[in-house]
Amino acid sequence: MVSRRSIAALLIFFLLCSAAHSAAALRVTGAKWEGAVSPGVPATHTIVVEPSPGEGEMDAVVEVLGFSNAPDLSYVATGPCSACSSLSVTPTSLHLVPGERATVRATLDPPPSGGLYALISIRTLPAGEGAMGVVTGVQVPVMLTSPGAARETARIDSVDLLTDGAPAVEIWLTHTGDRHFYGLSGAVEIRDAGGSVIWRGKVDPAAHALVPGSSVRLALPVEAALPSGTCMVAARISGGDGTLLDERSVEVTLDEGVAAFSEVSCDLNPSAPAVLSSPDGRITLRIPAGAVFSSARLSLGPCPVDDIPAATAFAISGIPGRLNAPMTIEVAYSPEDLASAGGDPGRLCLAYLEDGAWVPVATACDPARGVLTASSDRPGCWAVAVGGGGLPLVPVLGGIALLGGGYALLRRRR
Amino acid sequence: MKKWFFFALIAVFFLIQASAAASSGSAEIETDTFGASVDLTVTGSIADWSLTVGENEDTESITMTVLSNNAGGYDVKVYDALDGGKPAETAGHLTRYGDSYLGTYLADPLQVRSSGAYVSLSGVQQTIESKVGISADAGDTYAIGIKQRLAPSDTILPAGQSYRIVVTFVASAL
Repeated sequence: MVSRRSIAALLIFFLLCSAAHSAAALRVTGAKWEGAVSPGVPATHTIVVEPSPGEGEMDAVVEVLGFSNAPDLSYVATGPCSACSSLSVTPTSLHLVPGERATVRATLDPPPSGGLYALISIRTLPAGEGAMGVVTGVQVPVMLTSPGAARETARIDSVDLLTDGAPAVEIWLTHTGDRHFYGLSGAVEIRDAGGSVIWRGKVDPAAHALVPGSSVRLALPVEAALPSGTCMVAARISGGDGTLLDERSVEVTLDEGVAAFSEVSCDLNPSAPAVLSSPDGRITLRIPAGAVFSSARLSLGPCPVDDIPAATAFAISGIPGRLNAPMTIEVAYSPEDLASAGGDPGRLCLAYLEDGAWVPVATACDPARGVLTASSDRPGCWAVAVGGGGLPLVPVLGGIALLGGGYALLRRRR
Repeated sequence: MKKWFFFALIAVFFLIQASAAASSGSAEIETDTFGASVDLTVTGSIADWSLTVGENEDTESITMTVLSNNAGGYDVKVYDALDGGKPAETAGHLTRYGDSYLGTYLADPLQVRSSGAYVSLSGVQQTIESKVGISADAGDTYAIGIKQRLAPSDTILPAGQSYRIVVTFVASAL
């Protein structure tokens, strides 16, 4: 009697012979049609299509589709097609032969005004009978504007502070104008109830054009812990030339503080090294082989302490006591960390929390990469701290206190 | 007389120029204007991919190359275009196939990635690669990862039938 699971566990052979084999590969020239058109004056665009070198004969279809931005700004062939009623392509099917070029001619009869947007899709047809086939296609963005189309405007629809998992600010916005534009960017500032800036962040200018009518989402991971209470989240969006398009502020109340990132874990094996990084990649732990005597699970998560020396703190947990060999801790410091050091990265160091005090450790700073590196066998809470030019402040202060105490004791005995 | 001599001199000059051009074999090359181009190639194969219950992954068999001169960059998306009459509810899933699609499909969708995270294939285009700027001279080559989870409840097919899917890769100039 063989269980169902055992049967399923027997190798189920999917003969994916010819899977993705000799996939149809396309070369398309004239892969973008962007420019100005005059109402009533027909415009044409030539698209040259050929099989990529080494490919065989293939068939392809040419279609005119809608054009909008997906939430992540990528171009999608769904939604409105402002150019469809006045745009035609000829031919709509191609038989491509190696070494020969096929020409697709797109013709547009511009209406009186407005921007005209569509995607011209050139897509090979599936060939062969393999279990997994691959088809390739190229979509040609059509972005044409008539003289009357001049509004590159957008509005912020919503601003939210997401605290499920790692904190992030989410901005939804809509293009409200009639002309596409490149370089959409965003900036966010979070202030506490007292008006002090907790964190600033920005979204770099987008590589995709924002097409009229599209609603998109900008998301910025917040690289700082947020305290409980009320804070103000201010968002701005700008066009490619830096023009402010819209801004909005929302007040957010947090019942409890929010850690800068969610916990991640990895299994440690006595005989193998391991690497554990925070989800945003800013914090990396490199654990050498032999750091543990038996298998263990190491975690990297938020530090549950509000009073941190700068802006970045994290907790290393899962190991009772200390490691048998020191791990390397790498932290990319944030602009807020740097601001805590008066803009001098050489003053930054890493510190661990012991008995309520932050204890700096010898730290190497690479200003070019913006990374601090230290070596330690200690789990627990760690943070970026200002070490005053690399001096291990707490040991020094502790030594001074010890000397002072000893001196006082000696005087008392006399 | 002087006038005729002057015209003769000009004529001789042009004759010499014309013969020089012909004898040197010079040719004038006139190019048509060229625009943004995108070349998308997906090659390789996963031959005899034996799936077992659980996670199955192949990251070495398929490569994608993009050659583009568009200064704004390019992106590549993947989706299941439901070719060959594949039912809409099977979008993204390997589906039972005889002479045509037969409806039954694997519980989990096929997953695809390029240099980023895996995306679960569906009927909606999802970006797997994006680059700002032109490609390298020989094109930008990416290893494509394919992942398929097999559930114990997935039906074992009789001989002559298989599961099938066609993955569409779409490149676009930005």
